[in-house]
Amino acid sequence: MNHLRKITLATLMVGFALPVSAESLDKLVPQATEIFGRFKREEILNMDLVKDAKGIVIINVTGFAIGIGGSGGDGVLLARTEDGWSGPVAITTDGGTMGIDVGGTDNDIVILLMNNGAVSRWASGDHFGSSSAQAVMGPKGGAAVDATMKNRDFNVYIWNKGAKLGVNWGGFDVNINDEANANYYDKPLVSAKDILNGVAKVPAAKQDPIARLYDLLK
Amino acid sequence: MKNLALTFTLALAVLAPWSQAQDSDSLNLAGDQADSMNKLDDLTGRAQKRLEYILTNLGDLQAGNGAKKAYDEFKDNLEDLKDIRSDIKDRAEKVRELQGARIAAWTKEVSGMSDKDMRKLTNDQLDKAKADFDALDKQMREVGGDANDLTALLDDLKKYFDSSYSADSVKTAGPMIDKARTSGREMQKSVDALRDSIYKNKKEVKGTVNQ
Repeated sequence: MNHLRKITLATLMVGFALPVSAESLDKLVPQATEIFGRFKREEILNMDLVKDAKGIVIINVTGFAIGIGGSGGDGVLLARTEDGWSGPVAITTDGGTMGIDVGGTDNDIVILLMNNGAVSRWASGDHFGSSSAQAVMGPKGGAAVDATMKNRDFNVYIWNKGAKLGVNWGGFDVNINDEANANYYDKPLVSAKDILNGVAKVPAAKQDPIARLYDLLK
Repeated sequence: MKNLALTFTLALAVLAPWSQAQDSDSLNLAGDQADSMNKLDDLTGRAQKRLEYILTNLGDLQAGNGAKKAYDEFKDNLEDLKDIRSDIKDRAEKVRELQGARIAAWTKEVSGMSDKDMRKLTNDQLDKAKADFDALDKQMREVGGDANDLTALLDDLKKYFDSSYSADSVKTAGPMIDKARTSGREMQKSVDALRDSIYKNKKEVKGTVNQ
């Protein structure tokens, strides 16, 4: 009986540690647009800083069972190209305590990537240790933007049922959702780098929903 | 010293009616109205998401990407969109009702004010609140009308495909699909602008409940 209990517990722990099920970009783009739209409308986000960002991550992170498996999230990463914003790259995050101050909650997160190095780290599916990234909460909408804010790696914005939380930047992994990207771009071997460089373009059939996100990013 | 006394008197004149009004009917109704506007915004966001799914379905249909699956999803998403729109209509009516009740309660409270200057100041605020909501209501009705047209167009597409669905019929319906996609994109812009207005108006309403 005791043995059975151990197996059950181990199974639960493994289950909790797995990343959340990855969504298709057909679902992630509207989700990201909804998140970004709210951040912009409610002036949570500083649009002056968005204009300087080299990349942006828009993600929903669900925290569960803190102390067992951390948190998991689904979202998109876009980079600025010479012709405007790139197409979306589907990403997932798992592990760590990214933005989670309290267990069992949904957090909408927008991260402004302020330099190309930061974009590359996300695009290559990096591990972010608790002290490896220079990340702080970004200034609110309407606040004056200074060089410090522009020069740091990330400006982070978190929304949780109306509360704006402090950054709790624990170790977490970023994974590129290759399957979702391949389906969306209709290219089996499309890479995050090709999407972010603008080599892989958003297909005509998918342009209506992403156009709304591009409008909001202006 | 004289200035200090004057400042104190002015502060009392401003704060006294405000703190007295904390338990008033109009403030309680303002809280309910702000909650209802939050729910309206949430429903509108759900409708926008569903419309984006539909636009993707139409794009996939035209491009021939898993066309049958896109068609089936289009039908499901359209039904969901119509359900959400029905909830939006009910919620918008609720917001209008609460606005009417709040203004009526506020008007009654103003008529009971003995201070002439305070009554005039509050009446000005009341007039502004009415005018701002009227502008929002006009915008809601305009967007609602456009949404009716778009839903009718999407319904026509569904009926057309229900009677004849094939690669050829998708091709024949090309101009109609193009029109629906264009209208859908325009609708998203109008709804984003409407949600900005709802948020600003909600902040004004909430400004009277000290939240």
